[in-house]
Amino acid sequence: MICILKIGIGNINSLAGRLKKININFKITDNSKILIKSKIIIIPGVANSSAIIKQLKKKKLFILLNKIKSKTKIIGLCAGMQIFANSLEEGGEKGLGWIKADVLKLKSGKNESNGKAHNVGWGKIFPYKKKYPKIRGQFYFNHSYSLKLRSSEKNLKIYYSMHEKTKFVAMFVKKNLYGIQFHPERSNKSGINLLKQILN
Amino acid sequence: MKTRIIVKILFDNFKTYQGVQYENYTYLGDLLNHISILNDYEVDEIICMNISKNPSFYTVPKIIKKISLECNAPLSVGGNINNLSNVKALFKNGADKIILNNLVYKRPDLINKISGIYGAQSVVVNLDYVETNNNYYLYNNSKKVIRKEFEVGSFIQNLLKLNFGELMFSSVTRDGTYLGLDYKFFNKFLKNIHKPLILAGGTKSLKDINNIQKKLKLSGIAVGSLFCFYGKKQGILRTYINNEERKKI
Repeated sequence: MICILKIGIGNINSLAGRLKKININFKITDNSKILIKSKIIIIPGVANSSAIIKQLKKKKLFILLNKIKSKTKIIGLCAGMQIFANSLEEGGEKGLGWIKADVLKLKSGKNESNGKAHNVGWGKIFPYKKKYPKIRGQFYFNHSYSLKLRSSEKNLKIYYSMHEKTKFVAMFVKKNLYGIQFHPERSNKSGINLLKQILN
Repeated sequence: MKTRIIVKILFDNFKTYQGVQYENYTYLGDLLNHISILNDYEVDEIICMNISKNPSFYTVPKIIKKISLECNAPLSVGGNINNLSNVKALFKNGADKIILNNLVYKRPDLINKISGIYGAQSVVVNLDYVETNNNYYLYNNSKKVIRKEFEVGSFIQNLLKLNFGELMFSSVTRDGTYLGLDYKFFNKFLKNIHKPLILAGGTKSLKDINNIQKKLKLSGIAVGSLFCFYGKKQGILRTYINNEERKKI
């Protein structure tokens, strides 16, 4: 069973619509009994990352996710991915700490006053190492914070993208954890293809 | 990043329209069919503006839910958003971003509150404006009056103190007229703003889009009539940029 985590904020229908289009059966739930049994859990975005953490704690899902993370494929989208990190500058909450990283305001380019950078639009993603398979197409990004990996985090397969002239983490895979900064659910055919690939 | 070419759809219930200067709306067709056509074109983004005169917000979230399930591209929703519960209902039903207009004047404090829940990236502020004798004034669309109480430049500067993602400017004077996008307005007020900017109103042609995105630092251009009517007789044809045209832009 694939589950979309019902956080109580954020955009679930965008993702639900794409999964329906590719004929994937799924449940939208915050029920711990169902979540424990599910093979894949997707945490959707369109939210303030600290607000997601607060909701997870309120719904008693914070501990549950920690319990099942080693056996379940967990896919985080945008802010749903950022919460995998240790700390969240947006709202100041601590994250799940699944990857050694901090979520910080996007670094500003020359033309943006400090701390007000915002990356919105379509971009490509590139493998950090040549041995990783290429992912074709353009993807839709909309974020003002990005993941800054700590030097001790070495076990990630990373794809990066560019904001102005700065590289940032666009996607990573760590064993069964998938983090995606962009929105595959709103990235036309490229996004649908990527979702198919990850969910199969 | 490349300038997004955004399709601006006006809707009332499940019907889509385009107007001229926010009036004289022409009925185009079914809303969900329009979204489906745009999916085939793989559009950069869709803006859906609610132009219903019905003050009740009750049916709007249901409409947005259906659009969101169908739409493969990013979806922003605006029009008749009057309070936080309207905003919550839109996100809950599948809007990726909300576009605030009247609320910006009435309850600017809500902008930071919304960003605190949904993230600043999900809030677009739209200012409608009119131009008369080379002067620019903000415009209250719901009451169809010019807001002379606000001076455009200083209003924008105050607005920038708030936490939101994108800033959109819609020329009422140019809307649906094919007069061309408003370079003058950009140069007068927007040149030094370091926030993603969207310009709307008056797009004349693909050449117009091409020129403006080369000359101005815009994050998006919102296009209505150009993608809805065709030829001298202005027959209804809902379209977008095709692959060949995209290569040239």
